[in-house]
Amino acid sequence: MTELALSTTGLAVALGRRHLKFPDLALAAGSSMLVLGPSGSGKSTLIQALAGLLPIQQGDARVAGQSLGALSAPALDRFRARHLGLVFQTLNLLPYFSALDHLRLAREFAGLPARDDASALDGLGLAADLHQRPVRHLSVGQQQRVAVARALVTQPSLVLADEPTSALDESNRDLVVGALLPQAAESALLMVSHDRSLATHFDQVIEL
Amino acid sequence: MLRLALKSLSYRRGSVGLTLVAIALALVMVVLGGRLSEGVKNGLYSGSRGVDLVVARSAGDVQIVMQALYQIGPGGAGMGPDDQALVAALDDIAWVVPVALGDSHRGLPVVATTPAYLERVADANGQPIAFAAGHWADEWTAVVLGARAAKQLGYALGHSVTLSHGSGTGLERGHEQVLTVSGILAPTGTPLDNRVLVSLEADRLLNADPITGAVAEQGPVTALLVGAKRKVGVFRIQRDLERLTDGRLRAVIPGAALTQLWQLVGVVQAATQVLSGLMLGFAALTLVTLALMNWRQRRRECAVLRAMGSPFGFAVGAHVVEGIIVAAASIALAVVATAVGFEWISAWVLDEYGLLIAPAGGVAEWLVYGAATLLAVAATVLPLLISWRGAIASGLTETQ
Repeated sequence: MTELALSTTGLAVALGRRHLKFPDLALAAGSSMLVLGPSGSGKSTLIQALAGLLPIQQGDARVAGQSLGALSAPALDRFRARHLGLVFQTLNLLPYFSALDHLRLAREFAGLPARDDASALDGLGLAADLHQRPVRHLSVGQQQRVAVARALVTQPSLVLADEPTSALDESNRDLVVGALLPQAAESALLMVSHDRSLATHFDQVIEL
Repeated sequence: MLRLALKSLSYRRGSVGLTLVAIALALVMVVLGGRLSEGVKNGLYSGSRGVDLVVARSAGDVQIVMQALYQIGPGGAGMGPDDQALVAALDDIAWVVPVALGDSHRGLPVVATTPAYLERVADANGQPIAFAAGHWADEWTAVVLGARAAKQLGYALGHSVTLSHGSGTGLERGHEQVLTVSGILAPTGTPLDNRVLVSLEADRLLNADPITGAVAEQGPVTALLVGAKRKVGVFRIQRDLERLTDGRLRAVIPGAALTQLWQLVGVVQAATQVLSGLMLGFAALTLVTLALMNWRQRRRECAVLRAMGSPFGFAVGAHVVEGIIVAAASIALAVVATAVGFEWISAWVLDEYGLLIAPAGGVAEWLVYGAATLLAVAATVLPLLISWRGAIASGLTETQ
């Protein structure tokens, strides 16, 4: 049986006074899932809970066979660094760090040896002269590509993407989605979005 | 971690610069204030080395000592030959050196005394006074200059010095005397460095009757510097003098008078210390304010780091490094500013009052610098501690 990259059972998260319950999810390694929902439906909350950034109130979430609820906070940080790649809508990056700095730091947190990651940035269409520039000097589209590169550089078991294309124009959106989807073949990809036009690209589509 | 800290500081160089200046200013206030206070105290005490008692016509103890040893403040009535003989005849007296004060040469106090003066007083380190050039010649026309006095006046050995009675401004010329520089002292670290020493004979001639020209055989002196045969004898000398002169003459222990002076200025010193403490507190408040102003941005940075899986220790370490860099830069700036400030102020005090402020420093200053470092580190780590767990989700999703 193919190991599941992600499985959730009875997952519920408390957010302020709200108590959000989510449908059970099962995502096999090498596949992709799109979670659709309108604003306020809990899409971002789901991503943050699966990333271990929000405590799970009820149920269980397992990533690469590891129950997130069983990990202590420091262990969760380590697990996130090694097995999860996160891409958010905006504000993913440290403004004073360059693209290469971000990739280097991601490797360091994951306990991976340093490497020349310029090719990873080239593959995402980021020109070489932008690799060393502080990301605050890059356009939104370029920044998002750096965020994607950072999420993928550690070859995580699961990539979680929270509306990564909503702030982008069409060409940048296609670039980002085009970079993320092949990742599904390497591990697994779960993306949340309100954009239904993306549905055709994914193996599974869930509605909140 | 270092890379992260340096780039983060560079990105926020505006607020970091303000923080740095705030800390440095507070440090300068605290350290310079303490150094000047200690330096003045040490300078005053060093000027009285080697002298057990100062005897003068009855006046306040502090006034007697400040006038006799530092030529600060108005002089009292002079002591005539009978008074000088009475003092010299007391038991327990080992030596007596008369000093006559009141004249000045181009702004520098003139001290009329005997060569024994240089044998009895000591330099700031308690060592005997030495000559850098020449000696105190036997002629009554001999002038000996302190090290700074010679430099300031531009006089060398053999130089002719014209002294006139009074302030020497030329407006109240009485008798003038042309004397010759026979010796220049090595630096002593005491007010002596700024003095012009002449013989008592020259002083008598300078103070000749302006109408008749009569010169006193033994002129009045301002004070007598006294050495006791034994330290415990000073109290007996004080008692005997009080008894024999009905309080007309007073023998003052210089150290005791200076302690009294220091107690008088202690209130000012305490106020200065409170001010300095307030400055440091203000700097701490500024640090925290600036840190909290940056809190939103720091929260976002914390959120990004946590999302990347950063260990808490890494983030703390990076912030600690930031704090240490800010503290080190502030301390470096404060050290330079304090040194420059101290040089300027001590030179001014020396020129204005003839008082050498001995440099001070030591453990207390390093404790202040250590406290500033802890302060800077705490101010950079505080927002992290607030942000790390609590605002992770909102830090990633809030708009800029």
